[in-house]
Amino acid sequence: MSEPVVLCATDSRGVATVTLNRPEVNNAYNADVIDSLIATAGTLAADDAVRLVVLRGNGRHFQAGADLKWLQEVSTQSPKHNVEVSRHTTDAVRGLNEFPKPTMALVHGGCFGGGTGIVAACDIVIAAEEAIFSITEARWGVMAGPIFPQLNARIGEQNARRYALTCERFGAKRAHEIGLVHAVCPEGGLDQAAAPIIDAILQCGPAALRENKRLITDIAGLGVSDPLAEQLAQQHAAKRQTEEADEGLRSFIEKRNPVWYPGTGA
Amino acid sequence: MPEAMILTDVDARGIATVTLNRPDVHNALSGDLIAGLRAIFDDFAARDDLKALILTGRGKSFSAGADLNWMRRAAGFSHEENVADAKVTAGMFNALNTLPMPTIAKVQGSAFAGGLGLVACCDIAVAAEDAMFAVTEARLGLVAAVISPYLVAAIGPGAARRYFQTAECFDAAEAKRIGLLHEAVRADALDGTVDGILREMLKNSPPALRAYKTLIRECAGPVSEATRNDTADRIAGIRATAEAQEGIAAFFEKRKPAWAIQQEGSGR
Repeated sequence: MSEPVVLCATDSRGVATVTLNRPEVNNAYNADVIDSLIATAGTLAADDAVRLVVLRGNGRHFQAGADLKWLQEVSTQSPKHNVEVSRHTTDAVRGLNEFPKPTMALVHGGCFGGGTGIVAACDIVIAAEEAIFSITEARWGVMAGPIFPQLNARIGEQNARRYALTCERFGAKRAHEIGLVHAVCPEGGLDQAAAPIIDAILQCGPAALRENKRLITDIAGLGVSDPLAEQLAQQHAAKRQTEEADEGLRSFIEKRNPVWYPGTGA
Repeated sequence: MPEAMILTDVDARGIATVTLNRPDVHNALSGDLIAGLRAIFDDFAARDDLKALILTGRGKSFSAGADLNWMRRAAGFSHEENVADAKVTAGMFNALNTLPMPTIAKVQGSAFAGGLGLVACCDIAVAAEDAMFAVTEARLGLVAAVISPYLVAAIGPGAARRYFQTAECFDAAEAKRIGLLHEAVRADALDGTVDGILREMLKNSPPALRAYKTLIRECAGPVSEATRNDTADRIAGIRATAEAQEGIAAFFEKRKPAWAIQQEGSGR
């Protein structure tokens, strides 16, 4: 039997660690990962012994975004199936964003596409200084719909307009400047950097934290409404089934430039 | 006669200074202090001759937030009394936030919880670089409710999600980075920095500045009465709970609250 794609362990203090576990594909998400994340979040939300959740990636990278091979397969299936997949993706990010207890992401290596959405949906984000970020979707002819409300809230319109439209890579320092991450630590120092923050959370009243989190969500307007979620899922699914997305995803699989890239002109 | 808990002064230029004057209790916000501030803000709001208002504190702290003795008494209140009381607090922050003239928080010492709310309600915030900040409510089993619209507007949702939920202390440099402060300067440069800002401001047309106050508020999304009532309901609801009473009791008894005991030995 193969290893689970999402690992979960809770320590005696009530700190649950959720580890993305597809290191062979840089923890890229597929249907199995999305299902496991939704199920894990449900279990941890309902468990009173769990005080906070720490999210991390196994292997060299935190998370590489969608598994583009899986996405390419999905794109050849019915529109109905594509909408279902996008709804599921949207629900997973929404569920993480509105998870009733504090959430913390510990980022090392690459954090691309949907990975940036996972990070933006967590309450506290610490990145190792070598971490690299990119909102990569448009590079492959697809869109970042399901994660956009969270990303926009976290980095602001000014930065969302740049980084979602350029798909540029940026480092941990820049991620800190634009507000995507709260703190940057030396390579290999994530646990050490997280420890005092976890300790601070454990000193707070659990019921007070639930109320605090709901308050921030309401006051800052961080919740995603059902109609918006449905709209994002529909757009996300429809874009995946365009010729442009087909070319973009193929270019990834075939390790070549997509036809729309004219080169640097140099 | 005891000294007034709030000092006010208006200079020849029309600059009003409001000084929190309970240094022995770190300028904690008691019911009396809140009512006193509200009366002063209402009084000053009606005066056309005032060009700007400076809010500062006397002593080591700017303000340590709610007076917990006063908060503890709320446990004996009915829900209606609790809500009414929280609305008075919400009204004071709203009065500061909507003052018609420019306001500057001159943060000479640390600001916690409701003290941070006062800073966030001012247009400009300048602090001594050794001042510390924290949204401490959750540590006591409470929520930073009535100040949240102003604080989230100042620091943004990303920083709010961290600092509301960790109640960590952060320094003036971090407070400046997340947008709470405009300047963090050496303590001995605080007066000079605020005066420099005022000198620039006084070159501008007073009616234009008053028009900006409304304009900026409208563009940024005003804090509605519904939001103020909603946040008052939230703090009224939580401060009578067993968890909040345990948190406040633990504070007075200088011990860890029940929910923090299980992790002793694993941290600090």
